[in-house]
Amino acid sequence: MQVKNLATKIFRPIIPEAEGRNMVIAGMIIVAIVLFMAIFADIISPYDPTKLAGKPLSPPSAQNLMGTDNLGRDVFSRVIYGSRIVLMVVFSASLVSMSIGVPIGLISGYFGGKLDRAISMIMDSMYAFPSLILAIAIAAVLGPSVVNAVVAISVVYVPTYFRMTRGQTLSLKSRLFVEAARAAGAGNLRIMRRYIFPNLVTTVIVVFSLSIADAILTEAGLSFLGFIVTAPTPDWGFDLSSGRPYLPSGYWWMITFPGAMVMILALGFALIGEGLSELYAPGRER
Amino acid sequence: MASLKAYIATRALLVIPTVIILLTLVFFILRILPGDPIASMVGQKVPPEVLEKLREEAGLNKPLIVQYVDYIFNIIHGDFGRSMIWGKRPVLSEIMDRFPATLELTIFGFIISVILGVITGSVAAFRRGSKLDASMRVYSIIAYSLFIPWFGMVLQMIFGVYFDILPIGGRISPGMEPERITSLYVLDSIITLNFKALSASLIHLFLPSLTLGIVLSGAYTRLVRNNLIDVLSQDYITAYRSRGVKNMKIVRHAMKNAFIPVITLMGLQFAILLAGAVLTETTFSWPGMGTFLLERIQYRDYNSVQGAIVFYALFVALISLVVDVIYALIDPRIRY
Repeated sequence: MQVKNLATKIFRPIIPEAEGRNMVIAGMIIVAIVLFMAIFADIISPYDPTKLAGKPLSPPSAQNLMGTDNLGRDVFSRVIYGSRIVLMVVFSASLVSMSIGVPIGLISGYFGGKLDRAISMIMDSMYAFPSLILAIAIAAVLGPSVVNAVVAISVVYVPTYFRMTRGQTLSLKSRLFVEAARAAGAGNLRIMRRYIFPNLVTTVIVVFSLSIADAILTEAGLSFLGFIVTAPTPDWGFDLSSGRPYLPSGYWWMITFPGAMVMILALGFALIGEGLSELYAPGRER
Repeated sequence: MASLKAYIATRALLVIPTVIILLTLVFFILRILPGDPIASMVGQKVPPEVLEKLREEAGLNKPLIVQYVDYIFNIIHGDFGRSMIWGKRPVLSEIMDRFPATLELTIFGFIISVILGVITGSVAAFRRGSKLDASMRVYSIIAYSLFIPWFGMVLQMIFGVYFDILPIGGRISPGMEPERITSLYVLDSIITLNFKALSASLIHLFLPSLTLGIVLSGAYTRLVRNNLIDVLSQDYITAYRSRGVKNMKIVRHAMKNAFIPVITLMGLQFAILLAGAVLTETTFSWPGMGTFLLERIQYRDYNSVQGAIVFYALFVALISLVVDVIYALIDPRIRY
């Protein structure tokens, strides 16, 4: 039923769906470019991101495409290398929160009862708490490091996956095909694994890309506030904060480029997520 | 009306478990997570005796369960402990010095985001399927993806440095502060009819609240658009149309119904607004709660850090209660 619905959705070229597909494609191109930058940073970047590459604070030129920072390092090279930490942190954090949030949501929604109410209450409280502040609290206790940033960000996004999975499970478990499976003698574990979980996959993928977009902004925020890397490691959020003291003197290139990359990458994932939700969640958009 | 009162009372009682869960969460993060908060805040270079003394000062050397009971008990009594630096003032009064700045910023940011969201969303809904609709959608996704510090700094570079017409930081020009009544500078200067202070504080508020407002408006654009389209396609609107009711009147009816879900979003957005305010405050050197929290993390003032986070938790719980009550007042279906 779901699959057939989906197929008609994909193969029937009406305008909104074409728009959804275009959004996914545009997002994927952006993400692919950033991934390419991260993987081949050693080859693409013209200079070592941590070494002197020209006169300090020189504006963009043929030698330094995006200018140099206050220590004479090449901003372009730092922007390329800066993609590495953000991608690593955000991907691993999202995978961790997904693999915690989805099973808990599935079990909680499937069995219901007191346990479900207790877990839901905890998750809802966490969800209500401002995510960046939660991440700051965790990062401050654990101390600034890349691994701790992954921990902090993954904790923050567990409730997102939990709520979505739980909600879907609640509506799926009363559907006819689940009842049929139960009548045929399938156990709880089998029903969850074989009948409910496959129907969650598309939603999980949509939520994954949307929450990655959000997680990128959280990572950049933490990094901007100094909770992820220390000098001289290049990271967009961190580089943006290093450029901040030079803003009043008009050295715009130290700020514009690393910050714009944060937006572009977040935009890439947001486009994928929005486009997918348009393609796979009929009725949400008209 | 009796049922409304009952609803509000039930909802108010339900805040208690939420608050306790949030407080426990904060306790868990600050005291049970692996890693010694004091050590990781102070760094490795401090002799063990000093660490021990700091731990004692923060009450971290007692058994966990005693710490937990003390912690909850003190918060119920409004005792957030004393700051561990400088004058060792009570944390709560330090927070009260900083909170109005955040409140002022978030209120203005909130107003701007709602206004922008309603305008863009309605334009998209009434011109559904047009180029304008598509560009509003692009606007909402881009607004959502903006990185607050970067966007704020871009505005600073344009209006503060290049055109040099707006200040790039601070809450008001030094010495211009209005008499303190509510500590919300805009409100205070209106009450005291101090127009110099009013214009100075509005000028300082403009860029930070615009930054916050634009970034958060994207979510409203989508919601307003989708709700309006929903409502506009309903039978009673068609009935109005067929009877020749004027467009403006239809819009008024449609808007009212389209707004109910928007209010729920406002509640959720408030948490995002507070998180966004941390970054906005840092970007614009705004002396609010966010900069307070970060500054105290840097000074390793454990009690203040805990106090600030607890305060955020309480504030979020309060806002969700207020939103639910507003919701019940507007939508009669919600009462039970």
